[in-house]
Amino acid sequence: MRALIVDDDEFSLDMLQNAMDALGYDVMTARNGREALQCVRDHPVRLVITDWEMPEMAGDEFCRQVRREDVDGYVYVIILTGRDHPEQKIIGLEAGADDLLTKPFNPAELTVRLKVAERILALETRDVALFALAKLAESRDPETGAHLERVQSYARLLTQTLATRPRYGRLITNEYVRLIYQTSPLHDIGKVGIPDAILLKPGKLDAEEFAIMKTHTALGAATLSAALDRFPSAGFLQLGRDIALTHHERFNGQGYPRGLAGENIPLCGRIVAVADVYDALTSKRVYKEAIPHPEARQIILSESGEHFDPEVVAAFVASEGEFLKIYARLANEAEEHPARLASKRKVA
Amino acid sequence: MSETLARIDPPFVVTDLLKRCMGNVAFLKRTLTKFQTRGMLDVDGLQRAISDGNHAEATRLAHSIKGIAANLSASRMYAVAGEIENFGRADRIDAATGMIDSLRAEVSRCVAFVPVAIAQFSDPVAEVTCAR
Repeated sequence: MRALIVDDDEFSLDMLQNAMDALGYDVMTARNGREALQCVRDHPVRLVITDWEMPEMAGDEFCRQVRREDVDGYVYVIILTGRDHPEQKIIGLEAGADDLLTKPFNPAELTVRLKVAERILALETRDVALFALAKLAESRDPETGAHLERVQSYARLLTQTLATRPRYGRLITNEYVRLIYQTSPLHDIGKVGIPDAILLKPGKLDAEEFAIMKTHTALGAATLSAALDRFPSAGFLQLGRDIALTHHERFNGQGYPRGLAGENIPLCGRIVAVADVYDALTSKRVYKEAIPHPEARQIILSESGEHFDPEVVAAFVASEGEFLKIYARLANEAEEHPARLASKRKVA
Repeated sequence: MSETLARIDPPFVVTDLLKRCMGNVAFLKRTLTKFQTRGMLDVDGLQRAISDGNHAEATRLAHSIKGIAANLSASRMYAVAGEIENFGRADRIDAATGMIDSLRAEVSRCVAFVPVAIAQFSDPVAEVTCAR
């Protein structure tokens, strides 16, 4: 496994590098948080051991940045600290560290802590299984391309942006952001229960067909509820169920399946609603062409307080530059970037 | 433990260091040689930073020396460097001026002990035994 170790002091860095080499890790090194962050961006690093006190970017800030980064897979972070105070541990864990080790490291303790890290990272197979499940559901509708990947990235971005607002600062933890990212692909899992004739129909659905289509929310929630009954402590299943059930609810109470309004709709459902609709608008489907970003933006804005939670719409506006970047990164080959579509239309 | 070691009050714990080096004697020797070269230079730098009233640099260097001491299990060197660091963090680095001599003496004692520590591993058979 590749591990990144970060320390501004050469002596400590050498000691830890030697230990990690001896334990069989493929070791990279960095001299401060900023360098380390670049390594995480450029290389598939799963495990980071970082010093706390470093110039340019300290270990706790590095942790916060890693949790905000759009990296594939989970990065397990251990902070090494010379100060063994409970307050220090709280700050470190709140910053997003998974574990803290006291300096200088004890080799036996380091070894067992790394085993814990590997065990936790192995749980990521759960996330892979979740995503595979969602992909399987999506595979019946091949024209949606990288829809799930984009929706999960948009949803995470909206959640992170909301977290910067005082109202949501305490409610939206790093764990919540992570769970939104992991479970948002499950939003349409109930579509496995929708007949092909309806799911793949190129034209507009009639009232009866639409009524059947709408059941995908309850179908998905029922599937995940059954799993939740068996594993009640699985928080990710609860969030997945809430997303599947409520992502078509509308802020004004006119949505389905239950006609929930305002904050009676779980926050995760309000977030995924914007992410899902933005992606649907800017993507080509069997029944419609992709529309450019400015038009999609206008539609989202016009639905603020109607279809969408105004605070989530405000988060969308605040982060629209990042939306375009995500689209550019995850665009289907057959689709055009919404910004390019806009300029094409202007020319036409 | 050699006769030489028995006569000297060791300023750092070689067995702890060897464990931290994962039993790698060659690495231990390289590490100690590096410390031999660098130890007093760090103290000089710290003294300069204190004289210049450069709190940040003095605190950083004291923290770094403390880190080296911790890795070596050099308890006295660790304690003195830690006190200087605490003065730095409290923006009272001037108060640490009088402690530089104690730190220099401790680092010097550690540096002088390096050849003795390395000599324990001069026997290739012992080296192999200790390494595993």
